[in-house]
Amino acid sequence: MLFFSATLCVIAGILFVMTYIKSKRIQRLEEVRNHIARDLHDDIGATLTSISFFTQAALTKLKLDKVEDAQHIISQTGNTAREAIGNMNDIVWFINPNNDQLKALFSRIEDHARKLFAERGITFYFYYKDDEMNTMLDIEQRKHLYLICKEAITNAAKYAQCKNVELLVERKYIMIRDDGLGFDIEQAPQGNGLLNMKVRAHQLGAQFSLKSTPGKGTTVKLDFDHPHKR
Amino acid sequence: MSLRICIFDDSHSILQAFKLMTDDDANMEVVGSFLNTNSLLKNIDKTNPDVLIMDIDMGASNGIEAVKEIRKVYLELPILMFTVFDDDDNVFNAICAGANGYLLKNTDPETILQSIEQVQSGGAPMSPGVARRIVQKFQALTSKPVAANYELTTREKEILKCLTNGLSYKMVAAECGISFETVRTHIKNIYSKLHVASMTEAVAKAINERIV
Repeated sequence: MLFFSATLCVIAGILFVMTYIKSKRIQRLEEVRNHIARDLHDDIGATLTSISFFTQAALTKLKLDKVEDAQHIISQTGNTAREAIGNMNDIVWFINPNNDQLKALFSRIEDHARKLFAERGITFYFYYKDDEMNTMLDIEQRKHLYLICKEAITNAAKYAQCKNVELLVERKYIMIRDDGLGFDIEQAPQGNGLLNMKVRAHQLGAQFSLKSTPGKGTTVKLDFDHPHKR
Repeated sequence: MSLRICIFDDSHSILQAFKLMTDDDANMEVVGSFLNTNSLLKNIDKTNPDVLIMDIDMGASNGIEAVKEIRKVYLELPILMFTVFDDDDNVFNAICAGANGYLLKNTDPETILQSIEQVQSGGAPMSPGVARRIVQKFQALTSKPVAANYELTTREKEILKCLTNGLSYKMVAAECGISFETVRTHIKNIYSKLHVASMTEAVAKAINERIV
């Protein structure tokens, strides 16, 4: 009898834990979905708003016969719209469950980098081990990792004036290194790029580091070995 | 004198768009554009704006938290929220934090420029859906059945009313013509009758349950 009750208790306990884990997972999925919806709304909403403002500004310029200014604004509107298309592409890509392997993520990053660097005559090196590339990532992880790498790559392409950029993917860390101008971190303007990279790294559970010396290039590193706990 | 506007938004293009849109407007001038709320008070102090335009979700920065920070120092500076979010939480939290207006990003440019002038001259411009939400919330609050009056005396109610108006103990004493110590005693009694432990709780209860 005692044995019977004990068994029953254990089964009830297991069932309870399983239900709990399942409900937690559903809750987590829900959170991720809400997050993505919010981000999408905020990103695309802001871009479309600015396009609406730009057209208003261009109309005003035309009324005042400032044709050149108007032309400039209209071309800006085009750029902004294209930017929105790019961001939208990214978001749809994050959501697609076919892209849940590290391999898919880095092939997208590689495409982005090669295109950007080719336009500027920068040589791009990409080092990775095939067997490290099967790691599975959830939507949020893909998004954070992709946007950190994209930011670092864009910065190298636009500001570093470098000749070579390396992207290293190891089991314990990811590193993006250029041989460009470098900058004084203390003096750098505090834009959102750097701040967002830090926040995203934190949410990935990785340690973010940025090393730069004037004249000696810049290194961005995501370290998964000494993680910040979520 | 043109209106000095300061904008906080994590979108480069929004900041740029505001600048372009006010470019030929003799009545308005963008004096500050910031991508986040780092050095918030310093930036406001430096640019000395007449109106603030504040996004809510700015990555690492949050516009509602920023409004709370600003209100600790600038009680009167008109703040216009400018966001894509129209959910109840954001709307009410922003208004409660001290925002004076709440516009959605789908508002047409002309209305936005008008709203900036409105908020500066003491108005509270809201996008239509947002205004309706606030009215509904208000109606829900006031249609609540009146709760027990907790047997507060007339004097205690009077003092509680003063507290909800934001008066300090000293000011309450002056207002009611009684001593500071007496005010403290009354307030102690009010706390125990309302079963609360702090002034904020007392004030919240007084307003929510329409005690005063």
